[in-house]
Amino acid sequence: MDTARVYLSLKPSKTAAGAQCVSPPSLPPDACRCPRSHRLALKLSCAGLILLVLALVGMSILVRVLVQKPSVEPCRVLIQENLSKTGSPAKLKCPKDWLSHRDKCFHVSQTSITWKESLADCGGKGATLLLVQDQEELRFLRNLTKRISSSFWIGLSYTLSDENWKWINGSTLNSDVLSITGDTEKDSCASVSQDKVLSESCDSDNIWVCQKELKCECMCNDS
Amino acid sequence: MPSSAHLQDPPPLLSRTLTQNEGQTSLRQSSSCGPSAASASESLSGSTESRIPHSKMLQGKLPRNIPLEYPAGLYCCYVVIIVLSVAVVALSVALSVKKTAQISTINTYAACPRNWIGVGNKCFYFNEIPSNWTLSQTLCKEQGAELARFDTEEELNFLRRYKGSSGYWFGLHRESSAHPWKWTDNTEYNNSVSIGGDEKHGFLSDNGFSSGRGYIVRKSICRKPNSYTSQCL
Repeated sequence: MDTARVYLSLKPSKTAAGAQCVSPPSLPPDACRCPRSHRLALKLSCAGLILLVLALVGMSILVRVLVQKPSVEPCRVLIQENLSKTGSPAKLKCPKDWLSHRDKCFHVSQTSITWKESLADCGGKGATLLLVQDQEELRFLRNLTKRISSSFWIGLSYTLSDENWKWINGSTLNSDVLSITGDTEKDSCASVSQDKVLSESCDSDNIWVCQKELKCECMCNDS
Repeated sequence: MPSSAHLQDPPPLLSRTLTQNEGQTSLRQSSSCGPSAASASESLSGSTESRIPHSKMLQGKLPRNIPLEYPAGLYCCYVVIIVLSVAVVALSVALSVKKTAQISTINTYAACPRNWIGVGNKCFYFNEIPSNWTLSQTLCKEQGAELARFDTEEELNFLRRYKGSSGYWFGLHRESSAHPWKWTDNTEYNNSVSIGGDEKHGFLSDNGFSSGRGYIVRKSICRKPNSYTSQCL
C-alpha cells in the first residue's frame, strides 16, 4: 500500500516536470519585449529625422527663391520710333533724312535749343527756319513733330522796335494765314503748339523745323 | 460520528479487492516505472540545471547586449536629430529676417501708384498731355502731388535721363526775372543748376533747365513721397 501510494505521488511529479518544460518557451517572449520597445523608439526617431531633412530641403529652397525675387524690373525708357518718310514724287528729290511735302523739304530736329540757335542751325544746313505757307502745311508739320515735342520754333519773330510779327525773309505776317496768341511786351518768337501759334520768349528752348525749296530735276534735265 | 463510521467501512473492502488487482498491475508498472522514474529524475535534474544556466544566460546576455548595441544607435540618432533641429531653427530665423526685408522692399516698390515711377523714396509721374504751367500744377495736386522738384543728384539724373527730348514743366517759378526762383512750396531754389531764359516758369529741356511763359503748353512731371515713407513717419 505504501509503495502504491509512492507511485501515485510520482505521477504528479511527472506533471510538475511537464509544467517545468513549458516554462522555457515563455523566456523568448520576455526577451522579445524589450527589443520591441526599442524598435518603436528607433522607428519614431527615423520618422523624426526624415521630417527634419524635408524641412531643411524646403527651407533651403525658400531661401533661394527669396534671394532671387528682390530683383526689381528696371525702368523702361521709351524708344522713339523713326518717323516714316513720305513718298516723294518722281523726279523731285530731298536730301537724306529730309521729308518732302508738296514743293518743300523739311527737317525736324531731335533736340531743343533757343530760337537764335535754331536759326543758325538751319542756315548751316543751307536752309531756313520754317516759313509757313498755309494751314495745311502747318497741320502736316504738327503731325510730324507731336511725338517729339509739344511745340516747335518757326521763322517768325516780334521786335518791339517794329511792333510787328515778321518772317525771317523780311515779309510781314499776314493775319489771314496765322494768328499769334500771347504776350508781346518784349521781343518774342513764334512757337507752334498742337492747336495754336504762341508768342514765346526767344531764349526758351524748343525743337525746330528747317525748310528748303524742292529742286526740280526737269529744269536740270532741260538745261 | 456513527454516520461517518458507516461511510468509512465500505472503503476498506473496496480497497482490499483493489489492492489485489493493483498488486498485479503494480508489478507491471514497476517494470515500466523503472525507466520512467529514471527519466523523471533525469528530467528534473535537467530542468534544474537548465533553469540555472538559462537564467544566468539571460541575465548575462540582456544587460551585456543592450548597452552595447542600442545605446550607441540611440546616441547617434540623438546627435543627428539635434544637429538637424538646430539647422532648421537657424534657417527659420534667417527666413523670417529675409521675409521682413523682402516685405519692406516690396512695400517700397509697390508704394508708388500704377504708372508712377519710384526713385528712392519718391514717386514721379510723367504727364504726356501738354498743358500750361498752372494747369499742370493743378493736375499734379489732384493726384496728391506737386510739380516735380529734385532733392538729390540721383533724382536729377533720373529726370534728365527719362524725359527724352520733349520739354517738361516742373516745379520752379518766380514772380519776375528779377526775383529768385522758388519751388511750388515757396522754398527758395539753391541754384545748383542754372536756368536759361528770362521767363517766370521753369521746364526741363535738352540743354538742362530753361524757362518759358506760363501759358505755353508742355508736358509735365509730378512728384510725391511714396506711402511707405509716409507710413514710417
